[in-house]
Amino acid sequence: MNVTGAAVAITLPGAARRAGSRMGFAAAAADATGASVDQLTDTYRAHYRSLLRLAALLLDDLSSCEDVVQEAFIRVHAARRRVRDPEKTLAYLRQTVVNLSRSTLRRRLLGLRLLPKPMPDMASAEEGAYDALERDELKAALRGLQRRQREVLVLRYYADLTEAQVAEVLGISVGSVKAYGSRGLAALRVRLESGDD
Amino acid sequence: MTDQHRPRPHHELTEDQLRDLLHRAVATVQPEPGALPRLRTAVPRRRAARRRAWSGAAVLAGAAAVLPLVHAAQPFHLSGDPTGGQAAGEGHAAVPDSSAAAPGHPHGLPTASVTGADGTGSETTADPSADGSPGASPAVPPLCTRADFGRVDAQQADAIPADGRIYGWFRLTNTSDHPCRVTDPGVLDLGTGATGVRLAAHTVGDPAGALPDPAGLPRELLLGPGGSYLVRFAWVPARCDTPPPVPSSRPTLAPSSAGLPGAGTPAEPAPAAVAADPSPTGEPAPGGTPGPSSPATFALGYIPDRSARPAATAALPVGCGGTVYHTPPEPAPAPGGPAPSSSAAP
Repeated sequence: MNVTGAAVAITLPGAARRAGSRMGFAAAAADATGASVDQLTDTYRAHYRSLLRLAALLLDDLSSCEDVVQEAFIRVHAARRRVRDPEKTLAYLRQTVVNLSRSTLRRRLLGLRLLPKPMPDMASAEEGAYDALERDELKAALRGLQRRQREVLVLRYYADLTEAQVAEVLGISVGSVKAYGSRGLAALRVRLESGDD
Repeated sequence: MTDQHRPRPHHELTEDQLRDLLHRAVATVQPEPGALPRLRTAVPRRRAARRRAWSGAAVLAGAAAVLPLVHAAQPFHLSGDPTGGQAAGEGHAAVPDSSAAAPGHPHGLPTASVTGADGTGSETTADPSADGSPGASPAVPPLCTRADFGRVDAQQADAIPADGRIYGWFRLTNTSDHPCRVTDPGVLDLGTGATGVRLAAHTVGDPAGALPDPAGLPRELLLGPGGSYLVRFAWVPARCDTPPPVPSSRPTLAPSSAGLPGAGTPAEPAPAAVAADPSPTGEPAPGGTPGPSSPATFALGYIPDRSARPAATAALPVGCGGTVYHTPPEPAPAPGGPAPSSSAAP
């Protein structure tokens, strides 16, 4: 590199700070194996949205969901061994989302924010009013369930996990998963029906 | 506990229906637009924080292992004046990894003073100067502060004639008498005049191909007294869509006015072009596009810490805008020429 000009030394304040770009040790944080920030992008593309939706079913306001999923991504990706095996990355992420959703709920209850803000609906106009109604109904019904029941139903029927996988994520037995699942389903039926009347 | 035999026309919720309902309930939920960029900055930061927690311990162990040796073997009084040790240092420059030879490196020469602290342990300990500054206590060296960087400069190479790219770097030198650590990569800062200019972290495959692969750079640097690090950048100007009025910026090289080749016209250099482009290679009009009176350079600053004030700035031709790519800090190669720290003045 043919160095010639030297534009300068120490200048002073004045320089209006228009834009700053934090130079994360971004790619410098890459593994020796070459796993890097690109992996983050890949994982983001593959799983972020579905995890966000998972959180949306476990929680209720969208901003908490986003926070929870962001934090899950950060935690899992900051621990490199967790992303070494892409097969397991989703499991780690999902587990973290569930745990964080739980603690977010708990925090919120402690904070006495008992009346959840409704999730800002970005329902578009072409979406049927019936769908919207049904959706709100379902969300209200889900909120009425016990936390475990809701978690089991969401993991089982939204995330399509097996009972054994649900048991692992929630740290309970398969028998408990079955029990929470069927009780949750029954309760949901009741709630949806009563909401119907 | 299945009571699904009771007739419930509308809400006899089957598993499949529930599945469907759940999916539809969140079908409109989308990530916010800034989600990925936020992760891109947050993940490395969290990693760095984790690493700090670990490497702090490692440095402590390393320092504890090395310092007693250095101290025990120091035959002369170490004044902390690095220039004095230059000759002696050269003589023993080929310090092998045996730590017995370490004392031959008495003054913590700047040449060897930059170490990636997270390098392999043995290499770290083989570099006595990193920890060998006089009076350093066997503790983790402190983080470098702005006051430690008594000398900061910015340099840039000639624009590449073909496309106007300009490579350059900021160099920060630890002019204090103690080693310090750099863990914060700092920020680049666009100052006045930077319209249409954006910043981007360099990645392999982008147009700034001559920048080092960030993956190969250390995550933390240990600067001995006199040691320095570089933050490299590359200015990649955008191609101007509409050729701006370039009458004045063309004749940069050839002072066309008089038609006397080599006459030089020292009194009146090519009007706007000089201001437009410090490296007169007659590039696709890196000047001119904006208002004729506006300065055609922009200030690129580097802020090593969290303050609002750049430690150094470079002036780059703004042209039609473009992108500044940058890399994280890297250990500076031993500056052969520049005097160590004697000329340092904050």
